[in-house]
Amino acid sequence: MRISLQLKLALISLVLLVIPFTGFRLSGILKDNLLESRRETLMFSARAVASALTGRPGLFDRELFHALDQSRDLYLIKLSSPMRLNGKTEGWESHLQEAEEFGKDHVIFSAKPYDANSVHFKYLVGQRGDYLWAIFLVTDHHVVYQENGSDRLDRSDHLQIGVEDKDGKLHRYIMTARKPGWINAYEIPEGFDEAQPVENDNIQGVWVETPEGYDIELRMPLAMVGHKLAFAVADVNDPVTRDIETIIGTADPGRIDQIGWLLPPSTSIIDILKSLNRPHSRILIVDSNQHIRASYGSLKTGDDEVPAGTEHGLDAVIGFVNRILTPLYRLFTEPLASDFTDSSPQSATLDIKGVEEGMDGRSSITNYRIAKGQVEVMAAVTPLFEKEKVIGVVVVEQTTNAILALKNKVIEESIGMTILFFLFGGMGIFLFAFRISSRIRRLRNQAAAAITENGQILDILQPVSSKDEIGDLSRTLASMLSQLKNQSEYREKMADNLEHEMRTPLASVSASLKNLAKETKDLPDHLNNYVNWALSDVLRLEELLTSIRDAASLREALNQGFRENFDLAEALSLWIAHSWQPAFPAVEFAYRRPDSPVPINGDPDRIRQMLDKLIENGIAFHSEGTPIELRLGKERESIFIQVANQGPEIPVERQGQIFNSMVSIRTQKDSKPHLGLGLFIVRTIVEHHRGTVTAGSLADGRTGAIFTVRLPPGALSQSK
Amino acid sequence: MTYRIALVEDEEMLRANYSQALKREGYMVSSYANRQEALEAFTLQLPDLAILDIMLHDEMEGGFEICRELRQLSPTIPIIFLTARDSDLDKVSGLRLGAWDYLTKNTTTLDFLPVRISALFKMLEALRGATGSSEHIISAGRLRIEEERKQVFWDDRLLNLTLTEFWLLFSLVRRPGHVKSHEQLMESANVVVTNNAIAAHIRRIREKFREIDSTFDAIRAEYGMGYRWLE
Repeated sequence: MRISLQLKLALISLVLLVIPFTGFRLSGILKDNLLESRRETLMFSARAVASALTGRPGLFDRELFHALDQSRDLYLIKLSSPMRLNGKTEGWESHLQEAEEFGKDHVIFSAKPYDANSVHFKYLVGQRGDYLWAIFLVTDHHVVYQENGSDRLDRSDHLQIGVEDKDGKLHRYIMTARKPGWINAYEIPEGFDEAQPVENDNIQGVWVETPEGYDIELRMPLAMVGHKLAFAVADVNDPVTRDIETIIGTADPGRIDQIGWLLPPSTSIIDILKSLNRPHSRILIVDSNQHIRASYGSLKTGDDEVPAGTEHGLDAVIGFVNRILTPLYRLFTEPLASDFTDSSPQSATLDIKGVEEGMDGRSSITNYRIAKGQVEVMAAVTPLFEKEKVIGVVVVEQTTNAILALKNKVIEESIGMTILFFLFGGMGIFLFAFRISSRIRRLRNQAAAAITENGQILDILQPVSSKDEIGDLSRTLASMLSQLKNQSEYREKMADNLEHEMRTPLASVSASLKNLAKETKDLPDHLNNYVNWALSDVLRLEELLTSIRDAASLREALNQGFRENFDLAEALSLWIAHSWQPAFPAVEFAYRRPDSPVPINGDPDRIRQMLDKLIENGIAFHSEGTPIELRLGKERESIFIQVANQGPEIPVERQGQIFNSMVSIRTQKDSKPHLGLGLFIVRTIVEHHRGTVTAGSLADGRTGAIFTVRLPPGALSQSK
Repeated sequence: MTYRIALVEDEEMLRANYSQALKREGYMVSSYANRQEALEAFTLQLPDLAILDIMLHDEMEGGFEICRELRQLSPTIPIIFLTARDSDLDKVSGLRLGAWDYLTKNTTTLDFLPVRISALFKMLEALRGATGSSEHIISAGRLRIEEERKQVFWDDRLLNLTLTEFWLLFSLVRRPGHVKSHEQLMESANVVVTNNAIAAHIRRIREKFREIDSTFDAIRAEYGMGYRWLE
């Protein structure tokens, strides 16, 4: 397979891919280090908050952190959305999940063994404005309403409320309904049986039937409520006897010593947290029930937003590239959920691993996700001690977004840089490769063009001036070619010089011999023979010199030649009949004469001379008994003449050389001397006629050589 | 009358051989090895015919120099150039030095040299004799040839042909329309040269005609087989 230089260098430029890998590695290390320091910072923050809180005597007493009972105490939710009293769960949704199921463990009274199927409920208590809101989702398959005409409140399904007012006095209320819709509360005076219940308009509610049973949503002014509160749902199933079968609730509303604390978000702790001011983090104070009692701060950092519109120079380029490559980055980076829900507090209870450990008195760091696919939160948990006892934990939370963002930024930068390097560096390398390879290619083409197909050395290639290896190569090639050309020229000249130097002595020898012969009339035969032999050898030598002379002076002679228009088809016939056939009577000439004349403008003497040489050459190499084949024809704009013979083929590597002066591949001895000038003459004449000559092998299955001469028909119409 | 021939040839053996051969033919031969020697002798006495080598030792065109000075001494003396190089012939032609003939030195020189010399002397005699007395005149269209004087006229204008050129033309014109092969032409011109040389001679003949008549086209190359005269 051929791999070009360009490709190789392009492959080498793949090394640039190391950059993003380095980026990944670095970003990983960076992330780990940052996370580690973030952990320490968070833990430090948590401890600082813990000590700030424990340093305030009486704070936890005031904020009711002691002796809490999970099921009795009511946690007041801060309701964030506007509320409408309609019995529906709107406004409560985000907290419904945490609502505790009240059932078997919360039975206050039961006429018979409690059946979980008969009644159970969930409830939530919240604060919005000056009101306390509550919703009860009761599962009860036999909803029994108040009997028409009866004023008894406890002979139907109903809700009991026990409230300790600000003066520490217990008030009891009952809410029941004759039918779904608006309902009011009735205050039960002390001594339940003796006095009539009194309607209290301040407590309003809505009763809504549901597939499971019924919902009650109610609203009462906070002013009515002191520190303690209890709710209980009473279930009546038999519409006839209307006896209360079960009462389930946070505590018995009728007993002031049992009703639970109402635990609102602790504003005084929040104020302390506010004063501590930990940016980009959320501080939660969780009590021993794992309920969030105070929360301050937001998980949102605000760091992610990139200030737009002020990019210059490289930053602008990188920014542009980054925007284009965003889809690519997504493949490599961890997505950031920067728009996570950050309801504050997220939940009323905090049930993460670290909190339990914190309750056991240990500090820890926990990572958790708010929800699947949401942002990861890192939380430092440290216990709150009071008198060697854990009364709650401090949780300081921060998202890892900033770190992730940094990590992503490192990855993005390295990908961006790589792509920039690829674009510019790679392009540079590619251009460089292209330049080198084009220079080499140009050199190769020049070198190839310097020697023509038929072996002539043309203009020497121009050595390039560059001082690198390619320049050296070019200069070396140029000097090689020029040496070759000199050599070739010398060979051509040498023939001429040799001829000139030998001609005079030869003429002298022959003159001496002739004088000798003329002046010694009666030589004995054998002496006469010697003279004749000497003369005939001198003639042979001269013949040799003449052929050299012919070849050497051919180009000059061609320029002085005489051109005319003639029919080459006819000329070939004549030449065969009058010249070649008589000269070679034993050889058969097969001439495929074209039907129409082939007019040509040229020097007929020279064209015949050229064909003489091709025919002599063909005869020298032909296998005995096979014909010399001549073909003449027109092909597009040129005339071609082919001379073919069967016999040995010309080796491909010699096919171009044989047209050079004094190159011969003849191996057999011959009576006529051969200097390898015949085909040189052919080439010279053909080129003079602006044609080409090529040597090849027979392509039709026979072995043999074929020479093809191509001439333009108007070859010499512009006579010189 | 014995003609005196001057031979200027720098090659000693060749000079000896040629002068010996010419003496055998009955001529008086004086031979010189260089230009100075020859010119000194010529100022004393002019020969009847001069055979000049062109390259004399290191004088590349010493023969041409002698020719030029000899022409000043005598406008009619026949001069034959003897050269080793074909290309020198072109120079002779180009210089128009007034040579009557030129030959290349080769193995056949001695076969033809006496024939040519005697032809030139006959021509000289004819030129000296009365005009048209026993003259063979060949007329063909615009061409007229006075055979003895070896003079050729085209439209009554004299062409300045060398002996070889004359013989070649004469051979073509004697059988108009007939193709004369290279071999036949060489035979009639009493010369053995290469095909190239014949072609060069024919070319020079054409050029000389064209100097007089630029439309001259009476000598045709026949498919490289030879030449013929077309009327």
